Amino acid sequence: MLFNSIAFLVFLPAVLIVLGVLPRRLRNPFLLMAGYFFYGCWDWRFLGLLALSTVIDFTAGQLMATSSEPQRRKLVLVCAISANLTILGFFKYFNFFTGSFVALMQSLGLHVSAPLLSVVLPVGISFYTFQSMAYAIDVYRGDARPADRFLDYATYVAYFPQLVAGPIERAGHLLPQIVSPAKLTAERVNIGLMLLLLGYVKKVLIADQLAPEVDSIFAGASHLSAGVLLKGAYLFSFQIYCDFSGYSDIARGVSELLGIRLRLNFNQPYLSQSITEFWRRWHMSLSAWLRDYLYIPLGGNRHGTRRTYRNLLLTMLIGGLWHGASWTFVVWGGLHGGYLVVERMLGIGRALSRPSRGAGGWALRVLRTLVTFHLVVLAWIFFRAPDFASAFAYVSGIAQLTHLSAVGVVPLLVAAAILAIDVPQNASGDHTVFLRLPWWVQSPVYATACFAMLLWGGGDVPFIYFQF
Amino acid sequence: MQAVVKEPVVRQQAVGDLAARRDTAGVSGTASRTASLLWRVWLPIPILLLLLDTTFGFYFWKILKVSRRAADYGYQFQLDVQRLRQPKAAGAVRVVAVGSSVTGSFDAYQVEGLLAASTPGVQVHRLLLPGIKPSDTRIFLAAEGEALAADAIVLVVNLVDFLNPSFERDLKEQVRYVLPPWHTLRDRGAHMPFSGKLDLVLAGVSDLYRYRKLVRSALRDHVKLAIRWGRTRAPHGAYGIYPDAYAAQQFGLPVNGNGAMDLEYYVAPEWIQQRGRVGLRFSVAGKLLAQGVENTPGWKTIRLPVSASDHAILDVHADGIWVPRASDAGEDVRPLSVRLRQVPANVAGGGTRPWRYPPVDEREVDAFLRFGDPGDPRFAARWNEVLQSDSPFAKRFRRYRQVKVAVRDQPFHPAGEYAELERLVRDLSARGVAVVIVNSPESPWILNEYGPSPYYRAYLAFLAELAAQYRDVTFHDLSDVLPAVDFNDWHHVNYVGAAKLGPRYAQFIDEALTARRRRM
Repeated sequence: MLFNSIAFLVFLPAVLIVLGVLPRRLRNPFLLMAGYFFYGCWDWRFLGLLALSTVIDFTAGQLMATSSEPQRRKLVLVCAISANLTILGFFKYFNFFTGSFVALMQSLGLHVSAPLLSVVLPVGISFYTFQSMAYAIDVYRGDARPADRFLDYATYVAYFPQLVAGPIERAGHLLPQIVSPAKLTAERVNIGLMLLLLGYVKKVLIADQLAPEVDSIFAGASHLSAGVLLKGAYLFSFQIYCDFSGYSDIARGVSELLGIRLRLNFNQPYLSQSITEFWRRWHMSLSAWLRDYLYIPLGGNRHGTRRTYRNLLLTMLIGGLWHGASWTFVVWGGLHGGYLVVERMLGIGRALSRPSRGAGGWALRVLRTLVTFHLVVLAWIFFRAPDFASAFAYVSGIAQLTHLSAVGVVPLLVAAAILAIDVPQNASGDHTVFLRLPWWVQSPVYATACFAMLLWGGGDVPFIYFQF
Repeated sequence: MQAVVKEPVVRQQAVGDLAARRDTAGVSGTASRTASLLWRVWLPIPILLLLLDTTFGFYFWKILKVSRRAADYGYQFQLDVQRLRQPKAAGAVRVVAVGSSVTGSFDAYQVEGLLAASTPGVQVHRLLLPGIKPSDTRIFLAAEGEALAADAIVLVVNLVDFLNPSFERDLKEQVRYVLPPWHTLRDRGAHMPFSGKLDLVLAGVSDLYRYRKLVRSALRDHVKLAIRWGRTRAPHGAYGIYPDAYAAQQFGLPVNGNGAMDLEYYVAPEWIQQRGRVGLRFSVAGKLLAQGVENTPGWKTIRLPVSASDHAILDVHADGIWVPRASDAGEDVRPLSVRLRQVPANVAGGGTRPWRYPPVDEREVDAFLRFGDPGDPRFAARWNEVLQSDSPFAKRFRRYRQVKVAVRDQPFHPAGEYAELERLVRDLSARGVAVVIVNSPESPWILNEYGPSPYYRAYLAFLAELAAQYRDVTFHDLSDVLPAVDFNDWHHVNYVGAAKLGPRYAQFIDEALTARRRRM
């Protein structure tokens, strides 16, 4: 079920009403059912997979909690991680690795054949597998208490607002709220509605409106001028941001109405002054996951410069692969890894820690932001292109620098719309900053936004990150 | 990335306190977020939307549709229906042609003119919606039939309209919100997914939802035109804009402002043959530059004295029009009595293309619009060449051919859409409406391939038997009455073909109305 579908507009109020009248003890069973119904609307056959992941990690948590023997605990963890990665690998990466292996052999002159599976990628598998796996690791490390009841844990894994596209939550943050959710107050409803509105505006009024033009530019890239290609790259950068951060806002808004606060997933990433900062602001729940469960276990920055660079690159390459079974995603991750390494070499992170003041400082900040943004845009081309050849053709098409005026004003208008949301949020550090405006300003603006969504919505355009 | 630069890791506590959670969620509570703010900010929104929704019928249909007819068929269809809902005058005889794109061969203006002598007070209308099938038409007329108060209904059908075995499940996008939602739900609900039913329920309870695309279209056009008006301050037309550069009574081209403007225009021979004349008026910003009457067909040229300051629109007004159908929005390239273009030298460069010029290659347009002599044998070769190409035009036409030719080897079963047509005809006949079923013309280029097949013969026999079964129902087969050059493609007639069909339609309707009058 999509957040932007009519079905969800019926589903959500129904869930809220039922939760409002249900006794507390029935809350989680109902939330669990709602989660499975929400997921099953897409394809009920994969509910078993969700249940299997849940059972594996809950059992692992219980076994580790009841054992004080380190070897045994480690064995349980390894088994749990292996099981999770096997499921993920089978459904998401089997064909990719098999195909890549066959291609490699063929390039070496060896003719091998391997079976390719006709498997549908279960929606959101990367998200809930990472979340469930993190629970097992946290319990092993002692960072999270194992869930007391299977029901609570199953509700945590199948919590519908963030089930299929995050934010990837940690047991230590979400599980206690599942067990004892906060009381629904006027403040929470205000925040929830605000986040919902922001999310839908980003998704329906910006991302979905850009989608057709982006699709057509990327589809016909080989015949287009540099100006049009540049426009397509800018628009895709805005589309994916509004699509994904819009989803996260909606998820957080819905969750707020359920009395549960989800973690922040996007924090105005395009205002970043460096790639390092970008990754502190973009898909924060994934970057935190990669940090805690990959980068630091690899050694982080504790074993010298070269090992740090290697760890950075490896983390980002795997982060790229997490997005999809394609080498273009790996290259996208590799590019970001490369950016991070170069920034580290140049000491850009340290330079940014010294605030620059005055008009010159302001100009420098803008310049850094623009440079960072364009580096991100370049990487997005690899993310969006269907294959390497198309991505390189796209980049080399831009490098021709022909008809640059064809970029037009649309990207600027979209950027202005995004900045109108992001800048106040960034300045205040509050994503619901608009609630501070006088009510007679808020109400007509929100009404206009709702009216516009009614007119321009209804396309049921899937969220880009659902495919991951 | 966050993961990379922030070390050592600060691990989350098992149960984070609320303040910590607020920090991570990027929201901070303020005292002003009270319950009263909740009501003042959010409550007016549903109230306002509800108000806009409940009063929709009072304001929306009064908004001028400034785009051409073909720019949004669904919108135009609904507007035409709204107009038809007005009670007809006493003694008036109302004829309504309903159908898919092939109904474009029915020129309501022409037919009305031809019928006026034999049937005083006759009003002829056309409700055209590409893709609408007999099953859709039945649902539509079941709900709206009474309001339309038609004395005769002309159903222009084509083989393609019947070739969808799973029509119950396929509610085409362009038809979905045109059909009355509750009737559609009742009729097709059993075959729809839950989301489809939900969608129709919402469309049934909310006009704002049902007609949202129309509102969007109207808003977009008016905003665009208002901006353009703000730029040019041109006082003519609706905001200085014309519905279509080529195919409307009033149309316009941007003025170059180079002292003089050379134009070519083509007066269609069939038009002159049928109507005898066409009057033309050329003006810029309300200032008349030239006017005259053309009574001979063919290409004409004119040089208009345009001053250098006239960075406006050349307004061309023809006193006779023919608005035919188009196969898709944005591709309405069929001309009317007069077709106008700037002399190619002036158009060269692409920057001065007329507004709303169809987004296709000019050479294709020329091929389809038959620049040159329609009787020239080279035309057929050129047309054929275009249709074999990879253009969207050609692909669509090939699809039509494939679909039609495929029936050759199929047995004929009068189920599905055929049964729906029978239900439709039965309902109309029972209501005392005269029904004229017309099988639309087919291009001989492909009719030869499937026309002699048992399926096609059975199809024609079915329509003939249907007409014979019910009172005041007649059937006319026009499948082989036009030569290939009278088609825009293998499916739709062009303005030449349509002009030839007008007298036939008028004759069929006249006979049907006369028979009905006699009986009554």
